[in-house]
Amino acid sequence: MIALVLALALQSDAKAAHLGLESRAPTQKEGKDLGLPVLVGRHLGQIVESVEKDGPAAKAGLQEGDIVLQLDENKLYSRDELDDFVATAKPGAKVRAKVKRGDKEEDVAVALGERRREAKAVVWEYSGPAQLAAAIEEAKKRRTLVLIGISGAET
Amino acid sequence: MLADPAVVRASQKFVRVIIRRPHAYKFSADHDRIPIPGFAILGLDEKTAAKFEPTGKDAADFAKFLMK
Repeated sequence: MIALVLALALQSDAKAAHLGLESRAPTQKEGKDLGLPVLVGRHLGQIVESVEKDGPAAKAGLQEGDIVLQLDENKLYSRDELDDFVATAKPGAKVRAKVKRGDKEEDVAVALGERRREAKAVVWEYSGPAQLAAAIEEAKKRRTLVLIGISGAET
Repeated sequence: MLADPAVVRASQKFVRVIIRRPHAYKFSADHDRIPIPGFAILGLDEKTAAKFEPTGKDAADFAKFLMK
């Protein structure tokens, strides 16, 4: 019991990565007008609504109105996918954001920041199908199996 | 359910991956129709070893599933 309490305490106090932006999914009209790819009714991308002053996104040059299409190999079809990516990334990690700004697409290097992890629930370590191969490799190293949570995207 | 201490403890023996809709649809179709929302345990060959669909009672059942 003591070990469990300690483990949960350590987990709740763990550091997590931080991106420092607020975003939303494009509307159907915006997605169509911007020519964003569609997957099962959802348009690709997250429209940046605001960036935290001096936060990781701002330091990388991301701006309000940018559309973040992808973080590393993870294509973003919802805010939840963006949140999952950041939640499973390491604080300080350098990631590549594929961003649509006006008519251009460019890769932007972002150094993720750090925040205190608030969750006291199951902590996912990898996110999205693009990270499955890495998860399998990790499972081989740990000699264990892979637990997949398959969920909706509400945002 | 995912905040239940027994579930948290049991989950830690696995490598843990979250996959959302719309990617979840293809993933489910490719992996023995894992329920959405739901959970599955994959072997290292990526084949579905077991799957779990949350119901009304859930947390205790899910912990038992993970401990198998």
